[in-house]
Order: sequence, then C-alpha cells, then structure tokens
Amino acid sequence: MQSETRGSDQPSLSQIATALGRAFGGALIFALPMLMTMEMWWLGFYMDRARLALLLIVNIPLLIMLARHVGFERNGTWGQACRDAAIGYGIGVIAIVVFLSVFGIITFDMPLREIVGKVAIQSVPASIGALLARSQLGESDADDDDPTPEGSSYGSEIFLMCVGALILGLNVAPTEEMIVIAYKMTPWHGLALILLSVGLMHGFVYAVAFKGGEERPEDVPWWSNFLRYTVVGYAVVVLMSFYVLWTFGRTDDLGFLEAIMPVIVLSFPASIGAAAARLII
Amino acid sequence: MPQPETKAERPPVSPLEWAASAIGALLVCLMIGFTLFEALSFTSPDPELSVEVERVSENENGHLVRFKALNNGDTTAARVIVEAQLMRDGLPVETATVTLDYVPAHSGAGGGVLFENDPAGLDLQIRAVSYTDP
Repeated sequence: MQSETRGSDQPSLSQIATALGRAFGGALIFALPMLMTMEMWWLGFYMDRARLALLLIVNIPLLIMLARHVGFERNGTWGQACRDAAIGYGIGVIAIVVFLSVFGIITFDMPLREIVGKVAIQSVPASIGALLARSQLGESDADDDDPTPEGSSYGSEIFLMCVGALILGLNVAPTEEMIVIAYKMTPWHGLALILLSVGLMHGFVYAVAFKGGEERPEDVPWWSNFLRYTVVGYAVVVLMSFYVLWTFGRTDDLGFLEAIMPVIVLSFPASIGAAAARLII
Repeated sequence: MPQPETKAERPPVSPLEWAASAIGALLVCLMIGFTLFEALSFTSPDPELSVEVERVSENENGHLVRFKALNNGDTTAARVIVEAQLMRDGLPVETATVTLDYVPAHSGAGGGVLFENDPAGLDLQIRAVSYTDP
C-alpha cells in the first residue's frame, strides 16, 4: 500500500480500512448477479463436493497470479501476491456470508454443509472481484507513470482471458436459460455463434479502438494477432467454459455432441468476458 | 524479479496486513477443508428420504399437518413428492400430495398438508414417494 507522505513507514489504519472497503465493494460488484440467482444457491448444496473443492483450490493460484499481475506494487514479490490473494479470498468469503445472511439464504439453523456450500461457490467470483478492486478501482499510485502494465506478455494476456472467461461463465452457466438456449439452437446456429464469438473477441480488442485496446505494430499482419491471440483465446475460452459446465455437473449424462452445444453457448459470454478482461485489466 | 532501486523504498509489511491475510487464509482453509472432507466421506449416491410429522393443528381451512422431509443420504433429491393419506380400517379416506423443490443431503425441507377430516380419529400415513436428480 502506498503512503502519501514520505515520512510514514506503514499505512495508517484508515488507509487499510479504505483498501479493505474497496476490496469488499469489488467483491460485491463481481458477485452480485450470482448472489441473487437461485440456481447458484442450489448448486451450493447439491453440486458434487469434489468438483467444488477443486474449484476452490484452483482459485488459489489464480488469485495469486492475478495479484501478481494487478497488485499494487507491480514489481512486488510472490509473498506480496500471496498476501493479497489471501486477503482478497477472505474478503470475498466475508462479503458472501454477509449478504447471503441478510437475504435469508443462509440461516444459522441450516446444516453447516449447506451454509459452507452456498458460501463457497460464490466466494470464487467474489474473491476475484475483491482482488481486482484493489487495483482497478483504486486511487492512482505515485508510480503510475508507466502506462504499460508489467504483464503484457503473451502468457499474461492468455491468463487474463481465462479470468474474464471464468467470471462471465460463472455468471451465466448456472441458469436454466442457458440450457434452454442450447436446446433451441441447431448446429447451424452453433456454427454462427462460434463465428460471432471469435469475430467479436477480435474486434473488441483490435478493431473498434476501445480504450485499452491494442494498436498493432505496422509490420505485424492482422492474421498474426488473430491466430496467436484471438484463436488461441477462443480455444482457452472453450476449455474454461467446458470446465465451468463440468464443475456444475451440466455435462454429466450428455453425449459428446449434446455437450458441445452448451459449451458453444457458454463460450459466447465467456469470450466477451475474455476480451473485456484484456481491455480492462 | 529483484528491483534493487525500489527495494529501499518499499515499506515494511504492516502487521495489520499480516493479520488480514492470516484471517483470510484461515477462512479459506476451513472452507476448502470442510468441502474436501465432505467429498471424501461421500458414500451413497442415493438420497435416503424419510418424513416426520411435526405437528397437527386446526384452522378455518381445515386441519393442517406440518411435516419435515429428511434426507440422510449424501445426495440431494429434487422434486420430492410427499404423499399423505388418512386411513380408516386400511382404506384411504383422504389423500394429499406435496412437491418439495429440493431436499438437500443431510438436511430437511418442511411443508404442510391440509385435510378436511380430522386426523385425530384416523390413521395418518405420510411418506416420500418419488424424487428426481437435481
């Protein structure tokens, strides 16, 4: 945490409180749609425990890498990233507990299993939001002269796409409407949606000049970025969508062709999320 | 990635930050640990449904029988249909059914049925009849 005054060594209590409050707000922003979606509450108690545990565990390195990328001190250490990740995850959990209790979705006469399940599944997007808030919604730091983020490396961009895809995927995947759309679509619709998803992903980042988008250097042909970023990005998005659907048990008992449809449907919002993550983060 | 020129400027980590991260880490470990414990202690893929009558009361609409459907298994049951019958001498006098959206594993879900006849003089049988996978 940056102190305004040169003299003080450690952040004051009010600075810490502000930072925690900001993280709490970020957790809310990312988790609110899911917080008020009943399928998410139900998934909390009926989803397969091993898959839930896997998601919770996989979230840890994800948060650490995210903290490393977007943390306060861009040249911070892994230790700092771990601390930020722990704080972000903890704030995510607390934010979810507070709001689920206030909504009456968790009451303290429910069995612990139900409470933990409902909180755990929602804590994943909330923790990502808490962590992003510490950098995105924060005051600009003194060392913000450097406009290019430290991690605009290839791996970093792909990682950000994963995070964006995960957030939007988690928002959309639990609902029944997604399954209904998958049932209504024919394979031709599926092909069209794939083309649209890929086109939009490329367009958002490169073509329509959103702030945060990339200018490509003159000597790099458009198809180079297209293949290396957009196509790879869409492949990553498809894998993330499949992972989210598998976690929620939506792919069990489905034949291979039948499982592809929900994956294509979920990949559409996930790909927009991936593109947005590259622009915003 | 050492950055020697800024190392001197970086403030020491405040104890509050250590405390916050310790609390966060503890919450998360508890949550993951509990979930893993549940995952590892999973034994049966079938819900085990039973129904208990909580109380019988009377109001102007009839006689209310409040019950709780319990699931002792490791798997959640969805769309649980509970059937309540009032019997006299082995023959059903009145039947009512209730559908519960979910009865989660190791949990219960409550509901009620309204009868015209007074359950007091009759034999009340109430049980879960069917369910679906969530």
